[in-house]
Amino acid sequence: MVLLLEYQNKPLENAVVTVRGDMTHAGMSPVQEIAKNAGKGRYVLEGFGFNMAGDWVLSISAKTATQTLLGEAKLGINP
Amino acid sequence: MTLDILRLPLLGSFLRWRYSRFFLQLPLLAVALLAIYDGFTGRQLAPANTATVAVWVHYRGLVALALALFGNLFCAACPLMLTRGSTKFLKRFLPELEFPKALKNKYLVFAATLLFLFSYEYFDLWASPWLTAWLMVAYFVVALLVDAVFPVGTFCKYVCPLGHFNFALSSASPTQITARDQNICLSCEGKYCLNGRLETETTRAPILGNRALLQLEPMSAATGTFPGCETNLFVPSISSNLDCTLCLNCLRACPHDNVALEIRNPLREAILEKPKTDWTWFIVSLTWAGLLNAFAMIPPYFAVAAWLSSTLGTRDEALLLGIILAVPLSLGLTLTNWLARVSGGSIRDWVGVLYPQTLAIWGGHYLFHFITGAATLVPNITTAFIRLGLPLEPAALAATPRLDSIFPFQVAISYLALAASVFVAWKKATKQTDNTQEAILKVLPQVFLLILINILTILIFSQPMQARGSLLQ
Repeated sequence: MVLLLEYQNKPLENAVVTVRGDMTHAGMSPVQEIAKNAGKGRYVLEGFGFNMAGDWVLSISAKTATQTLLGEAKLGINP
Repeated sequence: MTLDILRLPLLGSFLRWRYSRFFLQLPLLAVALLAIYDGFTGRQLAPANTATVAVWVHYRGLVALALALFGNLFCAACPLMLTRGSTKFLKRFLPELEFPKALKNKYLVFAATLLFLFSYEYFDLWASPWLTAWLMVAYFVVALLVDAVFPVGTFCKYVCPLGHFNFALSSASPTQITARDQNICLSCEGKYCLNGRLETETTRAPILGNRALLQLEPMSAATGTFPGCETNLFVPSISSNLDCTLCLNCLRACPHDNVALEIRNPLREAILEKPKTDWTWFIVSLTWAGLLNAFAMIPPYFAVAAWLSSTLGTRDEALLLGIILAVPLSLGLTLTNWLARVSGGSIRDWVGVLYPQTLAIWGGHYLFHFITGAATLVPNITTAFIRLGLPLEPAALAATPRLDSIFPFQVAISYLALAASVFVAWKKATKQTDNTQEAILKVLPQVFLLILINILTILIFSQPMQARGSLLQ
């Protein structure tokens, strides 16, 4: 899975990006991974295991030299 | 011989301590208040909020564990009962009404439980910190008002769905309140465990009932006011855990120190008791509702909803959900009732066979969420504390076990419960007849029912989980 991150309409470069995946249901195992920087605002999640089908929320934290940016993305995973 | 937990060193001393219940209630009250705060003001993502995680993951998981290993600890530690002070205050201004006779049974709480199970799915309570917080506030308010307007204890005995869930599952718990010596109870002048006790250094009287005053020799028991059982249980006649909140009022009210919390055979109640009709239907419904509650988290549930939607030509989720819940529940109740008749008796005679499996169905389901979601509580509580201004660092998320590692435990629990249920069925059959062949014929329909429930349980637990916020995609 590749994340394309932008900040102020520009690709977000050289950030340490951590992604936590939660289902919308409490009581499911969260998944967490540090994304690999592929340049030009692209961050690759290589082993991110969506361990269940259903509604997921990705909480994305991007640490740059000067600040920590937080974002959220919702997606559905089919069985 | 009775093994009395109240006589054990340390644990017994703690339970006999006058403030042990208060001590147990305080942490739950603190968690409840934090959960309400976080539910209203925190991030509205269920796994990242204390309200949803504490209520739907940890509370339920710990309830199941406590019921299986000990007893109804969570009614004992219920923070709702800390509203007693406010209840007494409100009673000064409100007329105390008698709870309507027509509602003095388990049908009201039966209906409330079914309504809750429907609402749980329809409003996705498990996914909404905000609604979960409102639910907690509503629970506190209703408990306060019911016990302010009606006699204290009405809420626990006739209204509280959570408490009745605990009563039902504690039917297979290994502990029970009992009298140490029945003869002492026979000669007891005030039935203090039921009526409460008002004791000075020279007099003793029950708070309720026959209020004859007894003149005492100086100091035979602790002085003070000791309320009796709020759910109207008389200790020597207790033969099950129904309506017992383990508040231990009876222990403190008894001046003869004649109350025991005995360790019992967890199947004793299932084998010996014949519950009333209302309670019977509550338990049978809880068994099938447990299967439905777990079924609502796997792909076939959504497939059935999609098929039903296209067949009926409607996308009305309330209607579809109502059908998906009501039809299997009705079929389950009908089948259980019919098989009881085939076994030669009424459903009241045979409901005990369901006790172990009901605990296993709910326990197995809750265990899954408890283990998979266990790591989320500390980070969420820490985040809530940080938002309250405490100088803490955010807590890291601990590793969680693989999802498929829990299934073998669920299977083991299910088979253990099946074996226990079949044993109960056999004991019940042999109680009804001395003829082995007749007993086998009586037990066979029950074994069929129990195996069917076991297959459904394992089939559901074996499916990959799927949690969606809407019934239809």
